[in-house]
Parts: sequence; structure tokens; C-alpha cells
Amino acid sequence: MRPMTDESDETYDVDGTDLTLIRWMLSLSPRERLEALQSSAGSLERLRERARAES
Amino acid sequence: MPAPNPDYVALLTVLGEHGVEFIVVGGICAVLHGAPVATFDLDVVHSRTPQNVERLMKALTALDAFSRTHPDRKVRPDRSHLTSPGHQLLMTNSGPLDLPGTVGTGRGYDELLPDSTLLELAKGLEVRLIRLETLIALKEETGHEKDLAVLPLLRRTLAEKNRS
Repeated sequence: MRPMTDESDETYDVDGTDLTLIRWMLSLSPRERLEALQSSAGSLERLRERARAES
Repeated sequence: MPAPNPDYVALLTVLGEHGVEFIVVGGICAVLHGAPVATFDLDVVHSRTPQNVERLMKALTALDAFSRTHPDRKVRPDRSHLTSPGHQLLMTNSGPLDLPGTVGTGRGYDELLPDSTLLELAKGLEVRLIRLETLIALKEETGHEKDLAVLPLLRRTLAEKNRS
């Protein structure tokens, strides 16, 4: 079975930047990029509320 | 202070519907260019002409904007705030909105305009944002730690964009 990534796949640059995330973002339309950000912010907020409720 | 779920499209739509002249800068600008950065506030530099400040005032009323500096007093931004080059940190019904009068070494709307580009976000909704190259240059210029930290990601996004 072929591994998910091999040495020929460039997934990080020398600074440790995740290139797969950049390529994923660039594959989206500008509006989809904003929606991904909003969804991420909403998800973090829900996590925070849950942590607060359980503490 | 209430924590509305940020809705950047709604914020930009309200500004656009009121005919406000502005340029998106900061983290949302980076995201619109395709950089995977996390941010919570929308930063826009507005034209400080009297006519545009009037339009912005109306948009901010529609957004129920107030200062984040004194959330308990719900201080509303007025004309003098919006005509000054100072930084206004606002909370709105669609999330945090920052109005830095200028960015970098004092560059306002007119100075940023030649380094900006128009982007169609949705049908009938065009927003102006600074070019990714300019955003990188501004962050290099300010040299704040938080700006320097995001530079590798922005530079790599630019490289990937130029490659495709």
C-alpha cells in the first residue's frame, strides 16, 4: 500500500509552514475562504462555551 | 460584551450597500488572498472625506457599532473619531470591526489605493483589498512581533499563488 505521503511530497517548507493548508485555501473561492474562517471561529467559540459549562 | 458570531460577509455587505469607500487590510485581507491565518476582526482603512465619513456613520448605525474600549458604556463612533487617523476598535452586530485610520508608516486610504485590487466576493459585492505583496511589505515595515510571526505564511502563500 502506498503511504499517504512520501519524501517526494512537499508538505512543509523550511520554515515549517504547512503547504497543504495553503494549497487547500487557494483552491477555494474568496467567499469560501471567508466562510471557512467563520466556521473555524464559530467552532472555537462552541468549544470554549462547552469548556466553560463543564468547569 | 456580547460575542456575536463573526459574519464578515455581512459586515462587508453593509459597508458596500452604504457606498462606503474602504480597503480591507490585516488578517481578513490575508485570508481573502488565500493565506490560512486565524483572525477575529475585520480591519478596513476608510476614505476620510466628509462624504465618505457620512456614509460610514450610516453603515455603523446599521451595524449597531460601539467602541470595544468601553463596552459597558456603548460609546458610538462619531464624525471626529472617523475623520481622525486614529484607530477605532469597534464591536458590531456582525462581529469585531477595526478602523485603523492609517497603516504601516502612516498610509491612509489614498496612499493605499494604488496598491489595492478589487475582488468580487459575491454577485454585486465587490470589495477592495490591498495586494498580498503590499500586505507583506506593511508587516515588514511595522516589524511588530505579531506581524513578523505571520510573514513566512504570507510569503509562502504569495509564492504558491505565483506558481499556479
